[in-house]
Amino acid sequence: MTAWDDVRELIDKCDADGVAALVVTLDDAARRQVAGELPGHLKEVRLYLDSWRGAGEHAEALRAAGAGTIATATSVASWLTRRGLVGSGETVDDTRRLLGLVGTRPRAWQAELATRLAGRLRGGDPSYGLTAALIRRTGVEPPTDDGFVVGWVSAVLGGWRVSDTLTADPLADALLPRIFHAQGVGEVLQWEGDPTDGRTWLGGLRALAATGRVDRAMLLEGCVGRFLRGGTALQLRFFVRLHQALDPTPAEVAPRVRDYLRLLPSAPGPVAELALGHLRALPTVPPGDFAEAVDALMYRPEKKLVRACLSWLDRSVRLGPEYAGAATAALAAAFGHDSSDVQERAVRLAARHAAHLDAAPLREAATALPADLRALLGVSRTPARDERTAGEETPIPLIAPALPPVEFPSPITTTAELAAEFTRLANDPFSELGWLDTERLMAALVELTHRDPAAVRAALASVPESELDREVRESEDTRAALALMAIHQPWGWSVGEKPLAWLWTAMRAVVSPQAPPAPRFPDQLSAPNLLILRRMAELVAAARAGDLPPVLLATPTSVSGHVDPAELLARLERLEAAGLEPSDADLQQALLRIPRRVDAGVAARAALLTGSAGRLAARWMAGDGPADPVVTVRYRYTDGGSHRWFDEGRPPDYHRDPCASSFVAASPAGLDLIDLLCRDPDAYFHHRGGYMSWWAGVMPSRREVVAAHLLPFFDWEWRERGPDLSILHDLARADGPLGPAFAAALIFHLNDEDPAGRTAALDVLLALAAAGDLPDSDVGDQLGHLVGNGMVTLSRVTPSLAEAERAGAGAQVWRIVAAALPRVLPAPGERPPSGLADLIALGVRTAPPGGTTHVPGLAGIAARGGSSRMVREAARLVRLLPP
Amino acid sequence: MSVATVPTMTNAVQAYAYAGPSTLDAGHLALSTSGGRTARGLTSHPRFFSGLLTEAAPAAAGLLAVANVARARYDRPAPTFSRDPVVTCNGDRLRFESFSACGGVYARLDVLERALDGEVVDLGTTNVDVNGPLREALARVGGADPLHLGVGRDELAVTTLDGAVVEKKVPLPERWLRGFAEVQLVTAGFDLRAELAGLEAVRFLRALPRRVGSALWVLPSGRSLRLTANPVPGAVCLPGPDRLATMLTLLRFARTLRLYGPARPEAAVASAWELELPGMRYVLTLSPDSRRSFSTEGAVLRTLAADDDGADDAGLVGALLAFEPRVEPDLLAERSGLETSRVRDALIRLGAAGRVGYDTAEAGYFHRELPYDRDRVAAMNPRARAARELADGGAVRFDGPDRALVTSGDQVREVRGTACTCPWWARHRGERGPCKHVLAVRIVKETRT
Repeated sequence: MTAWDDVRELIDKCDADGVAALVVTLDDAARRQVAGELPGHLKEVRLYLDSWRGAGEHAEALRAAGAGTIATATSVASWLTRRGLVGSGETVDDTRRLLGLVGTRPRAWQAELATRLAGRLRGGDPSYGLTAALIRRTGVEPPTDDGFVVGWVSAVLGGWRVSDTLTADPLADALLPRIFHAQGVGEVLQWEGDPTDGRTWLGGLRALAATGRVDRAMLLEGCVGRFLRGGTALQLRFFVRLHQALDPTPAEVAPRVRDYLRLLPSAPGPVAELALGHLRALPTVPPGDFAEAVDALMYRPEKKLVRACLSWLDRSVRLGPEYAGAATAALAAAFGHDSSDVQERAVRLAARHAAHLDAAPLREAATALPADLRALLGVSRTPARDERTAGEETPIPLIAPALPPVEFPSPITTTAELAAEFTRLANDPFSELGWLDTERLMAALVELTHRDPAAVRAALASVPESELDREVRESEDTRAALALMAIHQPWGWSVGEKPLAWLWTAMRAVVSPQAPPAPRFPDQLSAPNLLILRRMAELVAAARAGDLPPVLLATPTSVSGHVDPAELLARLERLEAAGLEPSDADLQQALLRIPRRVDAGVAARAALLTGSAGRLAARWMAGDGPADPVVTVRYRYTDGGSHRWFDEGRPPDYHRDPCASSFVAASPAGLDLIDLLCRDPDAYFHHRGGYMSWWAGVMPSRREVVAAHLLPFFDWEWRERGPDLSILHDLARADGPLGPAFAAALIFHLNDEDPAGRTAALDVLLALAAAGDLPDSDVGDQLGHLVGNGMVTLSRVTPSLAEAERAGAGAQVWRIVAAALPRVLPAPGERPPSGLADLIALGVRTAPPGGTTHVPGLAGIAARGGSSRMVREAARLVRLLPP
Repeated sequence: MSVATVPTMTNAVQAYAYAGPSTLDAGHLALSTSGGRTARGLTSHPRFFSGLLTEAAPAAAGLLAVANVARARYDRPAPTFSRDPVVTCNGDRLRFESFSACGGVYARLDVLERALDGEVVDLGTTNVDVNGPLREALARVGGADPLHLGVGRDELAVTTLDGAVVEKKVPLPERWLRGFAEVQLVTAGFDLRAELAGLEAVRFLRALPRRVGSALWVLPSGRSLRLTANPVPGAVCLPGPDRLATMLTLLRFARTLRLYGPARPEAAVASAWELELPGMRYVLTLSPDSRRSFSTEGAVLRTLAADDDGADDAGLVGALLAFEPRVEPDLLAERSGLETSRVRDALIRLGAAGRVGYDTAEAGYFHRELPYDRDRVAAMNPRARAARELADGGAVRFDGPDRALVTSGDQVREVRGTACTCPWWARHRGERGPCKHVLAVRIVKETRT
């Protein structure tokens, strides 16, 4: 047995004290051996623990072994701070043990270790305690490395009064000035907020500064220096609060005016606010500095700072011509601000101080202002054609944004290709097969089998056994077992809900008709899924009966899902020539996929068909199909145990699960699956969604009905689920009028928390607007409902509408705003939804000159008086509308 | 004292050695230099420029912005090592470059001739020291304060500062170095896509969302630019708008915003954002995703197809470079006796080795030598190395027009187009460029034609 074997055994038992007791008895050679083995053993331990963090409970023993055996102080420091020894989230408490182990070394060695450790510590390092103890023991000059300072800052916090701890701490004088420089201190102290709490640094420093124990000037200097060095708002938060807690007097601020000034342009918001506050509190600021300050503030993105700057201007304009010059420049910049609120304030200031300001640059900048504000300024020049936005005399052309393109997959034409596709599926059974790819495989399976059944059978026989076969088989075994026990499971998921399972079964049935059992046909399906699966079940039944048709009627010919009428006619003719009638679901799907406009020649040729399916299709092609269903939308919520409607009275303060219900009214077509689709979607079986990305292809000529079926699946409260935005892309590519259900779905995505999601929804809005298909009044109407019901945040949607206006969709945006406003204007005594003023301001920007739209309730708001921005914007809009 | 890169287990450590800290006192900005290559050869403390910065406030703010990129990490919050910016004196201009710790953002401040009024002492590249007190002092520069700039101390100052050596050691991961070099190749394919003047530029940048879940795209719309969620021809990708943060601190000096990107973006791609300031330009180049470092972009893999003469060409062309602000391929062709196309290939190779940078504003390369161990920068991408081994070892067998089988170890991988059946591809699905099997197929194909 070597020394290492003994040490190793103790390490593996996590016996740190045992290790410590053993290593002190070793001679130099044995120590060298142990020290040499440690790094390798750490790797082994981590491998054994399978940990990416550290050595877990073995860490203390490993640290003790290293501290007791490694020769040089530098190497001990490296070992103790080694990454992967004490992982993140792991803790050790071994300062006393390690101190004992290194205590036998010479004093200089210990001092060296202290210094080396301090240089290697990172924030929150477990070796801080040892380092601090060694510094105290050896009396070495306190190191000022960042990691050590951060460790010290954390160690001072410990439940005791920070001021007492600091007073007693010999390190305090050396380390205090460093807290402003060391990276990581701001993060450790970011949660401190109460300067009266003595257990915090904030309270401790304030108390010490008050007694004079700590130099106030040093603290203030440190804070401002820290601000100038930069950092995120979070990193600087503690120092902002410290600065506030110290509350510097104007006399203390005056010598640092320049510093505060230089913080205005680029410091994080809270820091700039603080700096501006102190500058404004000064009796005077030199004119040059004032000019620099207001210039910098006008470029800040925070409206709050811009507004504060304007009120500072208001006070300073009359101080002298230099101040007025600076104010002129700043006001001219404010005229071009994105916020109409800022514009209006700037105009009022300019009007108030007109006598002191230089009129020429203001008049020039006023071109960026709306006409009514220009009039306030008294500079309404020669009237432009469109009075309100002189800068936009040429209207911006609305260019449709490109929606992500979808490629139509090329049809499969050979048996080898077909077998290869199924083999690929067999190897990757969890891949989600899209609906277009599924249609492509179904069509090829049917047509190639009809052409050469033997060849298809031979080719498909090579498709390997896959997870899908197992799934279908086992699901049926389970069902059989449950049936034996007389258990019926209507709610359980069955493999029959998966279109791919049916396609797979059909493929196996082509090879050997009776081999695979058909999946069970699921209950409780939503109507679009019922049509999809019924059509696939028909395919399986036909394959099992060895009776596949020569062609499927409903195979789409475009990415929207439409079937080219000429192609459909050819398919029907082919069936009639063979003396066959199409299967039921396939025919109904084909009818739904007929485009809204059919070439008269094709329709006339279709009229010559004689079979019942052919005659039916001919009627639909001639435009004699059922009229477009009418879709309406209502919103409901849960109050206690019952569902209630928002439109039947004000909901109680506490209500849950707000959701949208859609209603579809249509005259029956006499076709079961189509009539199910044209009925109210079942609003209560959310979990019966699935495959919603297929739905636009089910009814490509009646897309509003698809939207109606999608609507119940949106989660308006938590936004955790909801039909994907890509489905809206599909609907945008489809055909047919759009209405309230689509409008609500679009607003759901315009209300996305992620700006990227909102941008994508705006693309859909603009694409539809450019195509002339945007149901703008419905969008406005539903927006009004949703905001009124508290289901959508208005301030999140309005910027997208403003963006649409800038992109050239001003007319559509106006109709949206005009339809939304009556529903969101507050009744007397009611709080307006936040962001309402911006929506009204958007109306001001977009209302057409000499328009005829009447917005109910708006005049009432405008007449309320008062200075709130909502009322001011309402008054501006009223002036633009007919009385 | 000179730059030393000390290899450890996986990372190199960069030891900067300065004759003293950079300082800014009484209107004198003295930037200390570490070792680097100059027109006169390797020097331990090169001295490039001494004179007046005529646009003090934007220059100071721009320098801070460059330094802040070096300190930032945009993929996840974590403590970082700040690597000192690289400065290149090209004679008529000074270029300050830095690279974020995450490897996804490249920043450059070009201080042009009209903002400099002084004497160019030497041409070359080195690091400049940026320290806490200097940051503080730079932040204090504003208004019409005049600013005298010295890049590199004059000998006198060095001798008086006897022994006052500042040494900093930071790890220099290979991927960071590779990314720093590779970004030049990525931008070389960019063209100007959009331009916004003055106030519109300010408005647009100010209104950008900060945190977004996926890449956005920017395209011209009316008088301004508009965001869209889908790549359309002519649009410029904006991956991770929060990474433009350092640009927002320069808005008050902004004259023009220019956007550069590749011609036909399909998925998220890199883009370059250039803000024109008085007498200078500030450029940020963003990787296709906040979580993606430029080092994995694989642009360097383009040079693979070049024949073995490529290395010789690069050596020849490299020897002819003399820290020009704009490298003229025609001129180099004349001097080297190579065809212009071969000079261009050689420049791509030199870019991958960090020996030239690319300036989108002038659509041309400029000479600079990254002041890091040249062999490490030039070391080939490990994926490329593996691919070359496969290709040379005859592991690629074609099985159809678009299908190849690659034998790697005892596994056979099937390559179709850019897809492969290997687990690496299954995990990244092209997100991280081609796998070694796809690369090997490409190499074999290209050597055949």
